[in-house]
Amino acid sequence: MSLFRSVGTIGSIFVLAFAISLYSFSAARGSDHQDSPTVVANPLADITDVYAFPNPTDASRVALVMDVRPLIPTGMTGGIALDPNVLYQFKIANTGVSSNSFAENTVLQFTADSSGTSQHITLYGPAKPNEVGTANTTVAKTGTFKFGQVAKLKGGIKIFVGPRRDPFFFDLAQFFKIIPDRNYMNHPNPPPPTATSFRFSSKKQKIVLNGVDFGTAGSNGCVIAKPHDLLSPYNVISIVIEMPKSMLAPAGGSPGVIGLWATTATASGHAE
Amino acid sequence: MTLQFKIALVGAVLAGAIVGGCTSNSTSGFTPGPVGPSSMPGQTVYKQIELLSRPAVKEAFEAFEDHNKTNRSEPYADPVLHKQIGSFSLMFRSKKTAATLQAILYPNVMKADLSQDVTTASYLGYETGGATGSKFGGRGLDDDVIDISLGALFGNTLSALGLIPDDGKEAPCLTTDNVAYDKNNTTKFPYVQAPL
Repeated sequence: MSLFRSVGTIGSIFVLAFAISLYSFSAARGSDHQDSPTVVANPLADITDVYAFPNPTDASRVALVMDVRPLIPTGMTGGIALDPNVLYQFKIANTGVSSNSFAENTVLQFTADSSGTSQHITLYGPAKPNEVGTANTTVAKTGTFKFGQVAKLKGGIKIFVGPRRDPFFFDLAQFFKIIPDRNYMNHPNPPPPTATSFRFSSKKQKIVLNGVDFGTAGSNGCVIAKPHDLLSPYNVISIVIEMPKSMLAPAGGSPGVIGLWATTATASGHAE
Repeated sequence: MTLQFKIALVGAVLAGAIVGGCTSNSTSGFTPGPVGPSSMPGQTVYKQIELLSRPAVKEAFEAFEDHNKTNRSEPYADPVLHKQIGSFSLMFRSKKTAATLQAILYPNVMKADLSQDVTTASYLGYETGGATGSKFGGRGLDDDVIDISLGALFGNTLSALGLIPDDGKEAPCLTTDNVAYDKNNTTKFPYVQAPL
């Protein structure tokens, strides 16, 4: 690496650190309320990830996954189930997405009848929502099933709600060092960043982006340490539903492009 | 999948995403209100407290104090996310880069093309016409959504596609978290690995 490149890289790192510092302090000064206190207060309403993929052996079927309740330690899933005060929903726009129309017109909803792993869970839909927006009532019931057991419901639906290993992977601990604002435990006064780099296992690790050689981790001044998937030893509660694609098609139409998101909701709008 | 290949893939992905998403921040034509059968009298009305769609959008781009606003909004009528994607990106990148990221990432919905006769998903695959491996799009359990996002925000992905000029502000140390997927999902329902 040339001297010019080295100086430029070091300068970039300082600029980046300064920018992140400004951002974090700005966020801390801006408000003293913690982010989404309702979700922090009720992890059973905290959605960690959403997935949508075809059945690996049957292209006519699609699976949707909503994971909630982050960071259940290894061996500690016992007794943890859905919150009976929470409405869990997949919301889908299935008409006009390709032309940028995203209002939901199909929902799949879940409620539990009690706390704990002996609970029964009811699926409502997939059906047209009673309301478009963030205040919702349940649509017609499709069926009820037991927590922790795979079930089959009418229409070719397969369904499961229970503990699973968290499929998400991320060096989250290092991310929080780079942007401390994102860690709720740092609020209301997040500290300044203590890192401007993710962890690289070796100084010699090459960084090549889209065919452009950016040098090595060492030459860029990256943090040299073992990367770590913080989520690796943890579990979540997974809501998994698989159905014929036709169930998510627009009325009278064929399966097409959908826009998907997941929500949790309570009657009070608070954690409960 | 090597890092180089993965990043090259991301480039192809975002090319399509931008082409398909540049006008996607409009909410015109949408009027919130009842569209379906009326709820029954006495039914519980649940009020939204959390929302998630595309991974690492709210979490990476939006200040923690504003997450609650996004959590209580529809993803196409979010009062803060579009602006925050721009303002956060602007701290590190050019105006053109920030505007392009806004166009890609808002509205914050996950797109999947159910008309595709395929058995694999790939994050942003719909937007790219299958450049990520499947036109289905959606999100597979093992898709490396973090590196895709980091490559766009801190890498040269957008400029490598020829969509915008290289702003010379790449941060190579932030373009990957260097974490490999080590979970053991299955091909049988419910697919997600059993708990530890």
